[in-house]
Amino acid sequence: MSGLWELFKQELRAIFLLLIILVVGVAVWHSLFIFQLEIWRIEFTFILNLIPLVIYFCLMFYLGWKSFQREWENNTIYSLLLLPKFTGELLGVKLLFNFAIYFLFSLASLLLIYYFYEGIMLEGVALLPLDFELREVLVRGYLAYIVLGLKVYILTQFAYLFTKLFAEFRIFIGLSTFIISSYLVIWGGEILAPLFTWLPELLFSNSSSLYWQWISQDLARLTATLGLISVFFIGSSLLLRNLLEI
Amino acid sequence: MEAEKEIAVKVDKLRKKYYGDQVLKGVTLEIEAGKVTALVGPNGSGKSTALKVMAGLIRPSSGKVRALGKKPGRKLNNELAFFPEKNHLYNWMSIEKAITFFNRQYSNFDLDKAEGIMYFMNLDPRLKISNLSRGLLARVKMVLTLARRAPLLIMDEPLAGIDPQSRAKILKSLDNECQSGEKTIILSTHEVFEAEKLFNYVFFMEDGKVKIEGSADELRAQYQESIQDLAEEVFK
Repeated sequence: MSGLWELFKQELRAIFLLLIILVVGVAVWHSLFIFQLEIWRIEFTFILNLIPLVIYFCLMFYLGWKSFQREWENNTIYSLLLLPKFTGELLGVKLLFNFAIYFLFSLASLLLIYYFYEGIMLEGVALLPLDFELREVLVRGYLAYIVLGLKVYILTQFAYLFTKLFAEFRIFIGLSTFIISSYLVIWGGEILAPLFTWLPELLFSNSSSLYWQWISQDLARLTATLGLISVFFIGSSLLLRNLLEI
Repeated sequence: MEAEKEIAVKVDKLRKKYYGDQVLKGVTLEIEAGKVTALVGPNGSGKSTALKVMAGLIRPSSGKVRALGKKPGRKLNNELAFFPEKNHLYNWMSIEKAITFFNRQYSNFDLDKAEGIMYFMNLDPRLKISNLSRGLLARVKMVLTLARRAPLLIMDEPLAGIDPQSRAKILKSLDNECQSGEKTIILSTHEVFEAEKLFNYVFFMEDGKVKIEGSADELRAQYQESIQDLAEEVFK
C-alpha cells in the first residue's frame, strides 16, 4: 500500500501548482460575485458562479490527457512501467487522485452556490415540468455531472494512450478516438440498458428536453454507461501493459 | 567435464520493427547467470532495444524472451533492476526522497545498502534531482539500481556522457557488485575501454544483429587484442 501512496503523492506533486492556482482562482471568483449579490442582478451572479463547474469539467480533459503525457515527456514512464504493479493499479491511483479533485472542488462550489442561491434555484425548479424537490434535482444533476467528468477523464486518457501507437497525426487521432469512444459509450449505454432493467428506478422520467433526458437516466442506463466506461479503463490498462513502448 | 551453465536470460530470434524500421533482425542471446555480459555496438545497433525488450518495456515483433525463467512483465519487475539511459526520476524529488520512493515500491530494496553506496558515491541526499549534473544523476541511478537485492541488473549505457570521476565511481561500484557472482549484470556501453575489465561475455551488435560473441577472455586470446581494439576493428 505504501507504494501506491507514494504514487498518489507523486500525482499531487505533479499538479500542485495547478491546484494552488485553482483553489485561489475559484475562491476569488466565487467571493467576487457573492459580494455583488446585493448590487448586481442575482440571476447574473448566479450564472457567473456556475462557471467554476464548467472549468472543473474542462479540467478533466486536461488531467486525462496529461496524466500519462507528462510521464512520457519526463521519462518517468520508465519508473512506472518497471514497478512490480498491475497497470490497473497505476491507472487507478491516477484516476482516484484526479477524480477526488473533481469531486471535492465541484461539491464545494455546488454547496456554496446552493447556500447563496437557494431562492433563485427554487424558482427555477418550479418552472420545470418535474415533481421533484430542489435537493433531489441537485443530487441527481450532480450525479450526472460526476459521471460525465469520470467519462471524460477515462476516455481522454484512453485517447492519449491510443495515440502512442502511432508515429504521426497524434492530435487528430486522439481527438477522433475521444469522439468515437464517447459516441460508443452513449450508444452502447442505450443498447445495454435493457440488461439492467431489474435495477430499481432511481432517477427522473417523463421529461421532454434532451438535457433533462440525459440527466434523467434510469439506473439501468447509468449502470450500462459506467460499465462501458470501465471497458475503456481496462483498454487503457491493456494498452499500457501490452502495446505501448518507450 | 565443464559444468552446465545456468542461463539467466534467453533471447531467441528476436525481431523488432518500429514504425516500419527493422531495429532487431533475429537476435539470439544466451546470458549466463552470475556473470557480466556486455552488449557493445554503435548507435542504432539495437543494444538498447534488446535491453528494453528483456525488461518488458518494449514488446518484440517476434521471437521469445525469458529472463529468470519468466516472461518480461510485472512478475519479473521485482527481480529485475533496470538502469535506463534517460533520467527516469521525478525531478521534484531530492535524492533522499527518490530512495524512499524506490524503497516503498520494491520489497527487495536494501535501504542500508543504498545509504552505503550513496556515501561511497559522495552524494548529498538533500540535493534535488532537477539540480543534478549528468554525472551525479548517473550516480543516483546507480545507487537505486544496485541497492535492489535483484538477481538481474540491466543497464542501458550507464557510462554514457558522464564525467571521469563519476565513471570511476560507477565502475568501482559495479566491480564490487560483480565480486559476489550472485547477480547477473547485462549492460550496453560505448565506453568499452574503461569497462572491459568487468566483462565476462561480450556480444558485438551491429545493424540489429549479433556480429561476434564470445567470452571476453577468449575473444582477447583469439584476436590478440583488447575488447576496445576489437570493437574499433569490428565497427570501423
